[in-house]
Amino acid sequence: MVELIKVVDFNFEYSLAKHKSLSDINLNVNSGDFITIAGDSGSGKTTLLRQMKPELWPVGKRTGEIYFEGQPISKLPKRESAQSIGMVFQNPDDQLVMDNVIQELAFSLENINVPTDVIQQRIAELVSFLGLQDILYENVQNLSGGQKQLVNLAAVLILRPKLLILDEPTAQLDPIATKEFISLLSRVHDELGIAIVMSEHILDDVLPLSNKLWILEYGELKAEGSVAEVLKSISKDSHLKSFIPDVPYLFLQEDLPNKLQLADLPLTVAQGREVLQANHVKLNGNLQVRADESQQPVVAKLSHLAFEYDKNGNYILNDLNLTVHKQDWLAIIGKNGTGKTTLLKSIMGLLSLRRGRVQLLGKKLSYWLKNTDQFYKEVSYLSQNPSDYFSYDTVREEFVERAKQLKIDDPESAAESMLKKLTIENIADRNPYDASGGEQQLIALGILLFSNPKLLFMDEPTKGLDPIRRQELGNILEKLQVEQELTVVMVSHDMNFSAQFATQCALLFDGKLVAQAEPHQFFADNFFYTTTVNRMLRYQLPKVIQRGEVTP
Amino acid sequence: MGMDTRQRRPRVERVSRSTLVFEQLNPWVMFTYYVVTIACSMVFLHPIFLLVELLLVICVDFVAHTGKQMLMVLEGSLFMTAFIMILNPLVNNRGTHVIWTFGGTIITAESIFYGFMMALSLIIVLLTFLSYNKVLTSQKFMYLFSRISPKLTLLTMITLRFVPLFISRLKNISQAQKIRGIAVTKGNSRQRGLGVVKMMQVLLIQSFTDALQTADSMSARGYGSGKRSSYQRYRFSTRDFVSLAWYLPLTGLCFYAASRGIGRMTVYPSLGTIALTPTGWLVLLGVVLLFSFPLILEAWEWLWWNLLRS
Repeated sequence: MVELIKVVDFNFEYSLAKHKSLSDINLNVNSGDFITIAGDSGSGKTTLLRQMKPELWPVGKRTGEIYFEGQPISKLPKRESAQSIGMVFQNPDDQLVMDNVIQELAFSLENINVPTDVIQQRIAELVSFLGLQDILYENVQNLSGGQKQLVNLAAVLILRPKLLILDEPTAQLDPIATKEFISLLSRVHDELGIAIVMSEHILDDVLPLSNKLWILEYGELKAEGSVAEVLKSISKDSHLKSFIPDVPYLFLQEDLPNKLQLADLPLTVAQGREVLQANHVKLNGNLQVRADESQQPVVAKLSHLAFEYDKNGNYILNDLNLTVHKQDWLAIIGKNGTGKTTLLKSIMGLLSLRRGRVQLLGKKLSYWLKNTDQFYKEVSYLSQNPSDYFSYDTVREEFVERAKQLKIDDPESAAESMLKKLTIENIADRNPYDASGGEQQLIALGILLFSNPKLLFMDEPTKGLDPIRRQELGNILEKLQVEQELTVVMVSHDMNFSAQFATQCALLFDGKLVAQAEPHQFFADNFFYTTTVNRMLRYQLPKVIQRGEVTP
Repeated sequence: MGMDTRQRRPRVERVSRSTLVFEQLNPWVMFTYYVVTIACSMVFLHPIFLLVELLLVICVDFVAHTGKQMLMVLEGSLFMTAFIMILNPLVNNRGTHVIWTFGGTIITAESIFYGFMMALSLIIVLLTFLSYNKVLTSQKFMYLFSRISPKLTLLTMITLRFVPLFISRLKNISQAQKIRGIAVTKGNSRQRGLGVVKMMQVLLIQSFTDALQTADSMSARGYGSGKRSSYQRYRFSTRDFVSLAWYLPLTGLCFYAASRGIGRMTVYPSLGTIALTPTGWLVLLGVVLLFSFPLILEAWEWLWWNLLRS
């Protein structure tokens, strides 16, 4: 085993920053490693990853040393670094440079001056390995998010790196695309022997492949070592334990590794269920059945909606019907590209429906569109991209200006209480663009909540959020649902979040909403589209859908 | 970001590698063609020249399969023509044939006519860019300029990538801003102006952040780390030499003629005659040849496959 990277007493401080972003880091990466880095947003994951790639060093003060194959990494020639250390970033769109896939692959090799015939050979070889032949001449803009990320990975692999660094590569992908991407990574690791260091928020899929886990908190290495050890050590930490995936979480919660004298901590559904069944472990389920709001007044009624982008195009929505009651929290679940965003945008009147009736808060959409001021106060919509909502230089200013705009008395104190309600007082004077994805989501939500909307539509609210922020967002919305009688309709592919918070779930498929039901009913009826907890425990507790429902 | 709008578009069918003979030429030859085409459309300000050029550019776009986009541009250019034809007379009072006066503004036939020609010339440039985008891929662009200035090329490529992103993003931002009560279509002019400024600010900040990541991805893959190679070898073939051998001298002649005033209609101070002199017709023929360079190649290819092959 060769030592690829060695980090010794490393500290880093961004220029103009007041505190260190990384402190006292000591680490090493060996040639056979598959390392996962976890930690909440702002814990320094990206900063640490970038230190291993000298071309991408952020500006700031660094002390300590990083070695690559025994040489100080700062002395590594640019070309050498480009070849030996590959990096894939979070956003699939921004990494693509060329027009089509084959050019994108060639681009990497052209940069390091590989002769033409070798380029051809290397492309041919890689395309066969990754199975890219069908999209080779496809325009990159027409690919799906998952395919784009695959191309980004390919464009790095073609340089034959020794070390592959990935910065939350699946944060923007749906669960199916995530699984595909990760299974490909395992092939890259196992078959090509490339070492992998990868940061992730959702660890369910990556931990079974990893041999080491690093946990960062406030720029410090909180825990480091084999996956099972680290998971055990953070299971006592009230904050960090939300990072533990469901299967090991339940085992650690029940202290089963000790009780059953397990050699390994189970990480997958199959392993978990096998251990439980072999040892005849009986778990207690305590279903948190959601309140039935069907006696409440109807706040949104959609009938026979149809939508198509082009004349003679496919129907994205086709004869879609939906009824939402007051104080419901409806989760519309579905794969990317099934029309979830289209549905929300057309309900909000941002896209024109081909056919159908939309009634919101008892009035027709056509009425609302004539009174948009009132409409957007009472019915709000949070898109996938929270930064679209920003207009001012600090978070506080965003809130104060919004309060002024709505003629709220004493805008300053209104802003203050909103900051408090959303638990983001610590970033009040920061620029909203510098906030992490989760914080941005809360800021945008805050801007919308000033008008006390009765109905809130949200598009993938948990995309890119770490588990801690996810939990916070859920708690805040739940509170609003009770205290301000808010009705929430969200589209999401996050099944765990939906299972935990929604009062109703529905599946969007083929332009229609199918199987609308209470979450326990909904997930228990599904076989593929269900939560990890349900998959592992359905043989003994068929209705349990989330970790909170398994009690010691 | 902006992903949702693009992802949902139906997948286009696989594009074959080169649809035009012209695309197989050396990128320098193609680039020369586009420079000359755009220059001609600006130099020969004469209705007959412009109309003929427009027709040829449409033909080139058509054979380059830019069909749908071309229709969109043509549709948009109707408005643009009207707009320029109205605007130019309002700000430009030169000319002798007065058609109408109101409130001290004189509308002259010359200025309307000149507006019309400017609009035509602009439409030709726009349409030229359609086939340019199709033919001169980023790879060829990089081949042409990355050796001259890698940084400038990087900048240009990122900027060009922006244009489609800008449009889809602007839509999302304006929707989001509308929901938070900052609208660009309502309120007095000050509020509207403020709304637009805010929106542009958001757009620029977002675009810059994304561009940074594109630049990172490029340098992470070794861009700018020294000499580059090229996957597609663009040799200077006999075909390229033969093409340039007639193309460049003809370009020289046409521009020489233009410098003598041939093919340029006098508009100010007074509208001249539209009729062309015999030399004028000859120069027009030259311009036709220059513009139809890709069409000539295509026609020759067709002849070869259908008649000459035996």
